[in-house]
Amino acid sequence: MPQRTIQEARQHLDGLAEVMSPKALSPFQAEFDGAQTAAVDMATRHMDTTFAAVAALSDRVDDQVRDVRTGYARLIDEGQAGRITAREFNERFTKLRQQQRDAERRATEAARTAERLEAVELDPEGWADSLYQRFPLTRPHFSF
Amino acid sequence: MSNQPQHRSRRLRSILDDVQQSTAKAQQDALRAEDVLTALEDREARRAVRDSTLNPRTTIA
Repeated sequence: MPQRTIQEARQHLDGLAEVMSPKALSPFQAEFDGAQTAAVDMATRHMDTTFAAVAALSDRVDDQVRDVRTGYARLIDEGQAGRITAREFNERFTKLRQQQRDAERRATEAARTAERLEAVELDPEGWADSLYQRFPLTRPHFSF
Repeated sequence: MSNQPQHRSRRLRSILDDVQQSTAKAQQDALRAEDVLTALEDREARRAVRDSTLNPRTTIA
């Protein structure tokens, strides 16, 4: 049985529809519908997993930024009150800046993943087909 | 599908907008901290100058 992407199967089915009766075509159409549903289901599972990962990453970034802001507030208070030297201030400031950059890097990563998720949402079937293109042995089998 | 199309990305965008706002506030905090550091360094430099003026090092010939 040939393995095809959804797009390839659709084109093949369209070709058959020109020469076959609707009744004869019906089982092939059902096969195609099943494969299409399976492809969209696969995309949905991927989106659910990606959503959970990005949401969790965003939570971690949010916590990290909150910690950084708390650290800045304390540092600024102590600095303004003159309770620490410029050297101590600078050491803590450098650490906070590092944590801040790390949080910003994670936030960028989360935003990029969210953009990819949006692309899958717009075209789940196309996303599944892109996987079938990259991994041909995972393409669905068709009897036509 | 378990969610409406684009439901997830809309929710994520909202979450990420909140994160971005917090991140922007943290950058403002960093600017304030930078100012405080500059003021501290200035204060210490002035103190060093004042101390050296009040207690000049004597050189014994």
